[in-house]
Amino acid sequence: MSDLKCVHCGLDCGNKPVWQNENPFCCEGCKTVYNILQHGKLKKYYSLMETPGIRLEAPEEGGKYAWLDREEIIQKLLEYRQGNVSRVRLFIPSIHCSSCIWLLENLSRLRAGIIHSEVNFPAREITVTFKHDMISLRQLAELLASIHYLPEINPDIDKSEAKQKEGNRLLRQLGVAGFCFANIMLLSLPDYFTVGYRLDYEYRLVFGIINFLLIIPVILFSGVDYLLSGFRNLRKGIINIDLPISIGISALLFQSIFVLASDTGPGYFDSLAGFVFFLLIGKWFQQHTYDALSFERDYKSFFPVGVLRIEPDGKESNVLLDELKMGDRVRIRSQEIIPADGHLVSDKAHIDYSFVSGESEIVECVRGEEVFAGGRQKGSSIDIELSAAVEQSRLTRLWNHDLQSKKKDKSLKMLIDQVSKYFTLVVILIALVSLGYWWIFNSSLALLSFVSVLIVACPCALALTLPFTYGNAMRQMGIVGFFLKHSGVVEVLSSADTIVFDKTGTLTEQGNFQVIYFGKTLSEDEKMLLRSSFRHSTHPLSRAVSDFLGEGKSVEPEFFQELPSLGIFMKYKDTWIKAGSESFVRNEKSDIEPGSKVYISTSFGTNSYFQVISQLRNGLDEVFQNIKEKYDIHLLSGDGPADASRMGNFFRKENMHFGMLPADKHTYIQKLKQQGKKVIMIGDGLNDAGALAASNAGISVAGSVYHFSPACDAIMKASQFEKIPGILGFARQSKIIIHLSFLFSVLYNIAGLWFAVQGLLTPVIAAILMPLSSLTIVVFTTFTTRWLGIRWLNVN
Amino acid sequence: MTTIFFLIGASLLVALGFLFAFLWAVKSGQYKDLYTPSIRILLDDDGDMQEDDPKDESVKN
Repeated sequence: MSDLKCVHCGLDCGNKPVWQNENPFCCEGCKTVYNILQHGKLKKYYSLMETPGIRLEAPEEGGKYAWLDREEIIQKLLEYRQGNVSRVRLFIPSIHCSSCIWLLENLSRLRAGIIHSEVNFPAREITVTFKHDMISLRQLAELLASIHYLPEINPDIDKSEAKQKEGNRLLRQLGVAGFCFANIMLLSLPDYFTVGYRLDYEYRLVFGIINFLLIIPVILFSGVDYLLSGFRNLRKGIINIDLPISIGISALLFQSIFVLASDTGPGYFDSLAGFVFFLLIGKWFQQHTYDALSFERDYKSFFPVGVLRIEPDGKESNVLLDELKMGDRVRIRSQEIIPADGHLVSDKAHIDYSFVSGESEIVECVRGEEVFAGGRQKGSSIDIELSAAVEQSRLTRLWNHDLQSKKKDKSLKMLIDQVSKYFTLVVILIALVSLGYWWIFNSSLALLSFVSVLIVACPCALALTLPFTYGNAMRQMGIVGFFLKHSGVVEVLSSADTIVFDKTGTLTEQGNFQVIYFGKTLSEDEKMLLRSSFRHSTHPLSRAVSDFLGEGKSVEPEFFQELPSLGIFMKYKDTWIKAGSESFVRNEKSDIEPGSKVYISTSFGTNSYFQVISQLRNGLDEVFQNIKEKYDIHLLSGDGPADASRMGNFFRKENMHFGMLPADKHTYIQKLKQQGKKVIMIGDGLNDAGALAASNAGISVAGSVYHFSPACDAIMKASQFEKIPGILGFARQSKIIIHLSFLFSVLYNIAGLWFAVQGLLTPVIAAILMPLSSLTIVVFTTFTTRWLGIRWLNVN
Repeated sequence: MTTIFFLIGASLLVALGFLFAFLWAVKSGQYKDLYTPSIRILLDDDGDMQEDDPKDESVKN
């Protein structure tokens, strides 16, 4: 390998660097982008960060964005259009550094018609304002693609507008509650310093009225969601954390209004506002999400939005996925995914089904053969005649079938709901007992003590424990490349007892092969001849063998032929080499251990084979060493049992299952769940989508987390696979934190109740106890989860 | 006593001003992206994009 690094993307330039003015490039694509930026006087791109560029594996073919010319699509995508100015927001997963931000925000220098562009880095989005009479949406997308910032556009995916609005509403609620809390607290303070006497009447009156006015927005705007949810759930017979919260809020409010109206005290307005404020902080902390990640992709996001249809008269037209019918002829460009089942019309196709089936080999098809939706074409464009519409394809049906099971079962009740149930019952019991007790002994205290119990039994600490513990845990995991859909997933991870692994792409590395040679030792000359023949073949297995043989001397064969799905034949001087499948090379077929084997037979007497196996991920030994004892582990693979012996090191024999179809995986998980197991599924492709959805927690392993990943609960960077034991350990121990926090909460409540049942509760005590308990929880959970993060995940 | 009431009124007004500033900031989308502006401010807004960027040498290595 050469030591040259591409000026654009920084990758190794390989054997054939592309030179331009002493600047080496790894490929023509990178050179083109470099020149575009050079001409646009945007060279600064390369000085902000070193080699910030993005390399494309396959050159883009023209017309990919042709469907963006269609009016209804434009309508759907544009955020704003008035006069000749439009604004659009595009998702560009490859945004990765400050150079990207700089370049994309200077798009206007590259092309007239772009008025303004702004990047949202965490969401990997760019918002472009442009004059649509000077540059069309399609041209804009093509411009971005030309500098290798491929926009991923899907008009059917809701741009999370609703989520954004909800987030804004919470922020507004938080702001209002904070404002009211601070002011009410200030106005309540004077009362706390008057021991033995009361404030002057005017002060009492004015402060009371202002407090009352300030509490109105807290109840009607900031805290209204808790009240409504608590009430709604109660009517359905569900007791969750919102019920004790609602009871607390109501008790505080009515008691305060009562004492204010009867001029018997200052009331608990400050505690009430603080209560709502702290609850909202917890909610806000919990709401943390990863904007740029998509956890809920349906099959459509894997397909191209627009497809090139070949009309009967030979013309090409761009149609949308939904418009495809049976019998249509479509053209699939290189790297595109086949949208529906059909027959191949072109002579030859190389289709990669790894995403659908989990099988690692690329399938070669010839004319007339059936091809299935979800396969990715490798190589040049192919034509396909569809035998089904998109909705009727095998893959789509499978997906929809899985959707049925996606409704998560209720067996895994959230911890907080169970705790709240007991909490509510115990509090109401104590309140009633104290009511009864005082009714008999001192009826003037009865009602007071009853209300005091409801006021002081604050579920605030309870309600804050989970958001802060899991929210912090989620952030710590995010630092090491393990991204959760929401913080509740930590709880599911912590209670799991079974882990199911997919093999291809999860335990093995995609596209990384290990080759083992079986047979007599090869001399240098023989190696040279083999090298010369294999390097002419494009089959992935030949590639792997070719890499294995390494660089070195080679000769040009006098005769070379590649027979599709069989093998290769070459002649050089008086030697010949035949390589390929067993039936081709040896004219026999044995069924022992099918796998990826390349047999060779030569004129110089070599009769042996190469076994090509996909490389296992680094650190698997330690991972399994670690989780073996604590979890019941299973393997589900779409591949044949060739790997059984290798996998036997990790799994028990009865837990290994090969040749599993996507639906089999799905039922397997369901069966495990029926046995009462709490299952984590770790997989990667579409073939695991059903299993991921059926499991309690589905973890999708992805090389690039912003790209394709099936619907799941967590996305994990493939490079961080070895962190799995750490993450599970972290999740398990976060439970201890939660139990300790609950203990704190109970202690505070006992202290408060001690005053309350005696009828001795005063606003001062409440105003000290409530914030103190909340703060203790926040500080305790934050520090302990940090510590766990350092311990289990090596987060600094 | 009237002074106190006047001061309370004034402080409430000031606080309300801040509250509305916050609500406006939320509405105008300033809380949508809390990260990018921190990078953007470090990127110089220089108009001169000279061909001979002195830093270009470092890129070649």
